[in-house]
Amino acid sequence: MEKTNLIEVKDLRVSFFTPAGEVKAVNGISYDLDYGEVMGIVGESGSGKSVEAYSIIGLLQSPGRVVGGSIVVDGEDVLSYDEKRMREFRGNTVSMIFQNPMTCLNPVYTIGNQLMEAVLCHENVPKEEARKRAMEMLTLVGINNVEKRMRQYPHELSGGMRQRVMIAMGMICNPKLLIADEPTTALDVTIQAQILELMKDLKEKIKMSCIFITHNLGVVAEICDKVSVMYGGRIVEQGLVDDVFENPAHPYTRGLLRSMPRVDAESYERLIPIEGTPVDLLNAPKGCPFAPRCENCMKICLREMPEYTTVGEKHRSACWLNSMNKVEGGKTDNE
Amino acid sequence: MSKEEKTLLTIEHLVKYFDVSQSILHKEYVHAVEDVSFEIKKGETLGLVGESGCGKTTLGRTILRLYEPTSGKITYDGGILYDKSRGRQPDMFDFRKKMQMIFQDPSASLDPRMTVGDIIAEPLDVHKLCASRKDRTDRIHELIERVGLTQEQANRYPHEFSGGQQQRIGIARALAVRPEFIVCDEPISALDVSIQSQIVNMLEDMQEEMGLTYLFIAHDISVVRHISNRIGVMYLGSMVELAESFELNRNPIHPYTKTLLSAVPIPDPKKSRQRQRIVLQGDIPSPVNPPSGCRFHTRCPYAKEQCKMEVPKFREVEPGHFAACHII
Repeated sequence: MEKTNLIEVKDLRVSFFTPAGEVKAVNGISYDLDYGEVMGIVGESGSGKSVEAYSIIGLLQSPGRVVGGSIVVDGEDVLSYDEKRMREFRGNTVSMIFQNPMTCLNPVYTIGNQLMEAVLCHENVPKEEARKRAMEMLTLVGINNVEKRMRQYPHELSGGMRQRVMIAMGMICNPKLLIADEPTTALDVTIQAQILELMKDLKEKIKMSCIFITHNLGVVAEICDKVSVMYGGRIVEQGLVDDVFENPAHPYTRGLLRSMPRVDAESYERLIPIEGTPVDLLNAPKGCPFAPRCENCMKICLREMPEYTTVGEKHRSACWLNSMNKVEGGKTDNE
Repeated sequence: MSKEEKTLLTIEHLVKYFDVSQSILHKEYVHAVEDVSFEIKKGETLGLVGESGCGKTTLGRTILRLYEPTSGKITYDGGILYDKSRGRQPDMFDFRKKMQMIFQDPSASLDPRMTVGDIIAEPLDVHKLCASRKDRTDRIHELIERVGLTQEQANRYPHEFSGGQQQRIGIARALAVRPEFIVCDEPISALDVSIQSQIVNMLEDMQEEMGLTYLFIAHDISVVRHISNRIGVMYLGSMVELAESFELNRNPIHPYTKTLLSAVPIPDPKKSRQRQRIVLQGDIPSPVNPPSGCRFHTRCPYAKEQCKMEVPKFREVEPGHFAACHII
């Protein structure tokens, strides 16, 4: 296996086997991520973006199961890991930070205790060394008064501060990949700005790869190099942020960008919403999952799932419109 | 959007404290709304923005007297809603026909044991607005279609609907009594991105059709700016700036408004790379012991001695543009 990319996901399929039937939460997604790159995954709730991340780090809970595809991290197949190997893998190679820092920190242990635990679990180092590392990490994420903070409990910290602690905890064993699942969604805009600045700063300093899961396109534009747009368990568009935001190729991406009011708009413009409701994955449509809401829907869209079409360098999209234009003479725009 | 210069709602020096004392000797209050004054004109949308805990929801609820104000005066269309200086406060029953509210969490604000039709008709029943059984059914059907649902759905229960549809039901209920004024308390923040714009457009259409006046409360300044004619920015219980929405964007005066505007991420990679951002240090202080003087001075990059001592006056800096700050 060649070792060019840090993570390669190929045709990953995850299903939840519920009493009502099989829910195909992730339905054949592929992407790769290089060392030091930050990729954003955008999508609405239920689009499968978190499930996909959980399957990388082996946190899928019953009745969810990976039913196909492969995840290769740093040259090794993650899906073949047993529980013991998985424990080593988590934290050392890949770690994760979650949306709600209050529910992820243990309320009965001090911050210092929890940070040191991560080091002591993974590395054979004396306690003093772990303590030193924990304090360095806290300083790195912009927490002052470190001595005092180490002795405090999670409820004594504010939301933004707790999220900083979570980031410190995620990074304390120097993982190669950090998965951030909606890390700023629960925070106020001013605190969100603080955390985003911190993550941009860390990205410069330690060149860590990161998968950033969010539903906020503004956050993606700000922090990511690449972006994957998910809808109904599929990646509908993927590319470098500049390309995707400038030349969105999929109707869903275009719709999302048009439907949100922008703080930099010069005058009042009426919003153009995406009509309809998000797809019900229990009774997923046969063709393109977005077809029932798509303004450019054609007959073929309802029958068959579109393949990926390359619409630019490193920019691809799964839409019949793109593949048809391709056949007709390589046009990429179709409006 | 139509704008008449007639004032619909006047709020003067409104104060709302919540008693959180844990002993009778040591009284403690959450200073949720502190000396807020503004007017809402007929037919306009006034937006309220601020971080969580800044008192914007409390202000909205206090205006409708869902919370009893601590002091101040509220006048609605010439009639007094609340006046601290008078002993007995007016009865709200008739006002409720004119003032309604749309709530943040659509599933929590609908009774799970009532059908959607009954939920929508409850205000009609309370105010005895329907002469006959048939009247009531017709009105339910009219309302449910107005918000983009179908007549058959009137017999279903709230849990059978998605979040966006539940919010539509909440809106239909608010419209049932043909109100003039609606407080929209974060009506879209619990919804998915692609659904938010549907609801925003619907609120705009209804305003045009029925000449409604909105008080639109949200933490997302880009949405508020889109829907509002004027915006009030709140910080820790006080209003720090109030201006026409595009004026506020072009020319923010208060340092807090500036940081708030610069904190919102722009969905455009090129622009966001160029942008200089003012990042606030620290967190919002506790409203139980708010800072002395200007409440923003603990986080303000331009704070000076005077800011710690004196509360800045909320004054008209430019025509129609109000702000409370010492350094302007």
